[in-house]
Amino acid sequence: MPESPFDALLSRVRQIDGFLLGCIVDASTGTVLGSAQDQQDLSLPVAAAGATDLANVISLMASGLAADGGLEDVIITLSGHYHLIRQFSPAPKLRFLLLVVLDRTHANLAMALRELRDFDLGAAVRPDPALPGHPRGV
Amino acid sequence: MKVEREQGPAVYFQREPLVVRLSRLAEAGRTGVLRVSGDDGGAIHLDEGAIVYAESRRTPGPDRWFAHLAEPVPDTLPPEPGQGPGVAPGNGAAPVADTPAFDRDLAWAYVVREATLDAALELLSGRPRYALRQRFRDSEPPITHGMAGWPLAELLAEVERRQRLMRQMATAPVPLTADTPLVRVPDLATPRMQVSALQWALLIRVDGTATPRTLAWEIGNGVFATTLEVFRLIALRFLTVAQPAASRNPPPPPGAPARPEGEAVPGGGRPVVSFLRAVDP
Repeated sequence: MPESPFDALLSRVRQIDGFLLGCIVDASTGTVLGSAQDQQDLSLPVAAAGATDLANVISLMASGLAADGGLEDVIITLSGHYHLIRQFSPAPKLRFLLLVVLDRTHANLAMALRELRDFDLGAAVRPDPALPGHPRGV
Repeated sequence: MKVEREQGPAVYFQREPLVVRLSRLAEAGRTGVLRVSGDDGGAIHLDEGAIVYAESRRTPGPDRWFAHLAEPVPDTLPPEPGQGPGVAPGNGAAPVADTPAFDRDLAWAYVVREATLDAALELLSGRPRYALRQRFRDSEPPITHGMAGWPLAELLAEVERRQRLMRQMATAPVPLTADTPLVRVPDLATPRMQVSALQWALLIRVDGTATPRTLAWEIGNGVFATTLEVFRLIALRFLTVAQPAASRNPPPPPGAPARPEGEAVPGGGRPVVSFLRAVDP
């Protein structure tokens, strides 16, 4: 079976220094769409569900604040790991999360963030100024 | 009814629980289609025991979904019945000229996957599946454009996760199911809020009779995903559930004004689902 488009996307983030786990999650439903894992003792379902919960709560907060923009990324620093969550939209009505877990002893946070943003630019549709605001004010 | 056989190219019927039948077909590594009869039936396609696609009469298929992925959404809320013109969004966005380009391979892979999960949730939930007649036929697997099939255990784990989330929503302060009628909250609590394109597409279609399921069919989205998105709109206090006529209990005392049709159910607190609790209850 050929690799899925999600696996193809993840093969790019697998090159980030300190990579332990990566997955693409549907931000709407919390479904894991694709995953890559170098360290099997990390629970992928728990990491993905935690990332979805965070993105969900931050989106509710941004909506309530009318913050003139949606979630871009979340950085979580644990004593041993970085959890980086990047939201991107491959189509106007889709919101995906890219979660990458890195080993702090081998990762460079600034470089990793740069690489995730480059990934985002390559994978996502950028907001079209001709489209109704996404997000939009009410 | 023919006797069940898991070997040989034959058509045979069964009334055992759907999940049991599916497990036997998956374990035997069968390739073909398991059709479930009835108004809420559908079909599950297997390829060497892996689930590659599922469809239900109660959930939109991927073609409908794909067609709506990038469609434009109107700029104003339609007026409430008997009220003035619609509400314009804050920044007066320009009208849409063309559908923007997007990654079609990725989007198609996504909609096929989500439509399958949506249908599987529908087929494997709800009323006992004993009553539904099942028929398996050996056939070529459908073309999946490179998407790998699910081992049955993984599909069932995802269905179970979704069932837990549905239960969380059904027991929230404003209880929500896929078939709950919705109404817009007439007065927003805050002067300014923002919503996503999908949320906007839902908001403009809520009319007192719409449910997450009817909205999903209308906008081309998953029933499960739409129910979750509606739940977020309830948390933001844009929407609430309409009180069904049958549940208006007790009746108002004599002389008291009757509650209008489609009156909103008051909600306490801000309802939030926990995805973490759904995978690690």
